[in-house]
Amino acid sequence: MAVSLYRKYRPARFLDVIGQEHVARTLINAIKQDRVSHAYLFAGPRGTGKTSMARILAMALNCVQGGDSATTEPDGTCPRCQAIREGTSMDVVEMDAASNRGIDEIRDLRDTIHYAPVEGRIKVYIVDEVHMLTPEAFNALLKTLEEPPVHTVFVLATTEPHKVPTTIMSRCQRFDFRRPGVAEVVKVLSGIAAQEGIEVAESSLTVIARAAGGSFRDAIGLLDQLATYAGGAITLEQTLDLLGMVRQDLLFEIVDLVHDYDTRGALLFVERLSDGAVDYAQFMRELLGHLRDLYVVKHTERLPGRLALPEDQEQALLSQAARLSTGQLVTFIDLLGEALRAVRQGSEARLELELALIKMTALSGQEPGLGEAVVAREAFGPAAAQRAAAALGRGQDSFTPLPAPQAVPSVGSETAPRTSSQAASQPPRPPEPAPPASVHAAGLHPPVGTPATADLEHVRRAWPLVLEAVKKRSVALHAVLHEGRPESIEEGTLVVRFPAGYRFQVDQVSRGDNPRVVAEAVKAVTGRALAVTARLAEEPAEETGPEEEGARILSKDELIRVLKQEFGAEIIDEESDG
Amino acid sequence: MQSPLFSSIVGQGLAVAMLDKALERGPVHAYLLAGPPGVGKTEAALAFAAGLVCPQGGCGRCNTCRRVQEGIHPDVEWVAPEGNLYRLEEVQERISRHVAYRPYEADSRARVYVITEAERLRGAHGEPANHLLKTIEEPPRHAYFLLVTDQPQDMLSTIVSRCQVIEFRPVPVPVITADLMNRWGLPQAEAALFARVAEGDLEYARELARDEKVRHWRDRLLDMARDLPGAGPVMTEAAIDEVLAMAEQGSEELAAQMKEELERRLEWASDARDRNRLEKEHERLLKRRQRRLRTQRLGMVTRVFAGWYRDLALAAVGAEEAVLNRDRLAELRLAALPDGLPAYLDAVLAARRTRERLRYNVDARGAIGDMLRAIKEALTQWPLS
Repeated sequence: MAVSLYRKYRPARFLDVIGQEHVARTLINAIKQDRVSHAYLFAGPRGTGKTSMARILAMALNCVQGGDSATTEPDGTCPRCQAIREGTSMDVVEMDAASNRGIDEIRDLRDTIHYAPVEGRIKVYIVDEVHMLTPEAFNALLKTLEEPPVHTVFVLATTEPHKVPTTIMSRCQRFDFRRPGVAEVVKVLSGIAAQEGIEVAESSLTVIARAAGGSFRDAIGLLDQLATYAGGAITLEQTLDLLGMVRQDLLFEIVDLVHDYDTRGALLFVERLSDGAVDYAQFMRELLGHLRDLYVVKHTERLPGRLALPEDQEQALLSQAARLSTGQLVTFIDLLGEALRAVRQGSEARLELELALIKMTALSGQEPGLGEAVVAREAFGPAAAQRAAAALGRGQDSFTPLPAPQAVPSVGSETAPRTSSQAASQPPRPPEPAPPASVHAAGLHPPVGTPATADLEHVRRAWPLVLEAVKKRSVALHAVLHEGRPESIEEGTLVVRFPAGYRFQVDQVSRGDNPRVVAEAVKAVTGRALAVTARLAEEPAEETGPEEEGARILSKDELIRVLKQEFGAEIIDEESDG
Repeated sequence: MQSPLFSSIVGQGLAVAMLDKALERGPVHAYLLAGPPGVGKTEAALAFAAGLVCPQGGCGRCNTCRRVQEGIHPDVEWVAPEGNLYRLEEVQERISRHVAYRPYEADSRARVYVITEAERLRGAHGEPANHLLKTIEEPPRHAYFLLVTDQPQDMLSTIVSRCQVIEFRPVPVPVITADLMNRWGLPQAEAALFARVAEGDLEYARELARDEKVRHWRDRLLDMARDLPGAGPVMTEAAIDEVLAMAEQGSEELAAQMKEELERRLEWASDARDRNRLEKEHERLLKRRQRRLRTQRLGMVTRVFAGWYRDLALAAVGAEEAVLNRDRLAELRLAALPDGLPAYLDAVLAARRTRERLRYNVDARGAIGDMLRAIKEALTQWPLS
């Protein structure tokens, strides 16, 4: 069996673990000063070098080079180091907490821990995926972890530190492994390529590094695969082909079609894609990434650092971002996110893509034939009517996302069924404030100009996406968080308000690592670095704030009144429902 | 020279090339075969497994290769979830408990675990997947894991990053057309139609080409979708009955067919224990295949319905070139109203919801009934005429 490259090239010295110098330096200094702690917690995303670092530490503590003490430069070739690298050392116990998660395994560990090391100086217990231990197992470990015998060192590694109890956390020195940048991954890849004699251009390596999303293991795995596939020199085409990447110009084209509300064109575009072997889900993910880039570029007017784009694409991105309105972008991102969610649940990707495109081009905008329908649909409430009219008058820039007209009572007017069927096809989302441009036009709001307010608007609109991002990290946190809504931004802190009586949710969101998880999600989605705090509303929350006029739910009587007032409707037959 | 094992897989040049190269140069320990349903992942997994086990490295002709591809080789463990999700015990029993053992047969070069519906390894709390992490990362020398999934985004990222991912793509329409013409001798027009209708799902396209019954069902389902707005409650009930009968049909045929096969194999069984093992295996296989068949049939129902209303929406906005059911273009033109767009989308969504529900084994009658009612409501509420 061929050993996969990522196993073959596990780093063997501290500073070989790229991108984690802060950890390496601290460990080296600890060894120099003879202050190696008895327990470490290595936290960080997959493939960033946690296990490798743990093994190096084990080697450093046991290497023959050091004589009687630890060395900062384990040679990696002495029998002890060899044994550790191959996982056959008697003194280094590598335990996988995911499959040995019970209290019995931990008891076994405690029973053997007092025996002195066999060959080396220090026994090292590396517990991988430590967050998978059961609560009982964690508790059984507590005492041992606090005061282990002098000849032992624990290294706990985890990808999900927020699942590790604080009692464990406080007994360890914690190191956070950071996600390496594209350049660092490329550096490692080119090193390996050189040693393996793989011919590959730097541009290909960049593509691989980006696709791997900051995981060395994934990146090296991809390189491995490409080398196998190509057989000789690796070309950029092969790389793109293997990764199933979509050509950039296609992304630009579809966004332009949407921008022009060209339903037919967009659908024919999808049709054209089907002639090639396109993975629609992949296409949608890349389109979503493209939209996010546009969004970021639009608001910061410069390219995010992680994008390393050629000059012409940079220009294209900037000019496309300028053409699109924020509302249009957000709605598109929203619809596409919804579509991807459906795909994840097993729906066909092509169908979802088409649905999103139809909604985007024909049902939410200014398709000439449907323009009136939009007005009629939006007309439940004087403000909404004005807004729709304003939207039509103002051209592209004042694109208006639909308020979700949930639970509008069905009365015997022509428009009502339309609305309820519309409600069914709308993705469920929290009541959304109207976008600033059109609200402003309707004269409902003081001008939104201050940065904090603009930020807030921004965060609110992106909130569903933030929730989605949080859900990926922790379903439980998502479940409580979605009860709240972003209320204000105070000195760089985003306040999420929960209705009165939701103390449990507030406590949960404020607990442990959770605020940081939410803050990271906010950062990832909106690009804003904000701290997050949860707050309880003093009085029971009203269903609708004044700013949500457009989405307000009217009672039947009110609705009829409004229809009469605004449109001169007359009641012809009260029983003509359905 | 490509191994003859992969000769029946079309339109997956990249994936096949990677697997083939892997056989030639030495495979790694874990692969994830990911891609949409019906494009040949399972077929490829078995072919690759044959290549791993076969003493000649995948000759495609020997007894070993044949048995692996038929799914009856003892050194290729076929793992599928018994319920909706994998359970930890299941994974322990089927995989980790004997992963360390050497291959059963003297000339086998490997033991291969084909883990289907691998996204369901997530289990309720991720335990089955986490349990496998270490095993998959550094398994015994002779063990290989082939994970197969059509929902790769649902997999734990820690599992994915331990596997080499082999991506399968939807088969391009022209490739399916060519396959149907060459392999099944279909006339060009018909082949092109089925290729379109299947949207990259080779398995479905081949079924349409091969099986007259399936073609007939498609026609019936399209008729139902077309007539649904005008159908009364009695007609709707009748439609539900018909759809369910469709889904059940074939289940018994399959049982009979497999029974025969079992008897053939029992004749060769050496002793009572062996017979017992074969019978148990047979039962498991039958149950799985029946479930799969039923899911497939019900999937076809929602697919045809969704396809019809999608086509209506496309026809309504004038994108006729992209219509799937080309053979029904005249009817679509007649039925499609520009105003109907929201209603058509609602209908598509209803079909989609039903598809999701059916994935989790809800009561099929209820789900299909709900779907028909929801679609009818969407289409009639809207003042279409």
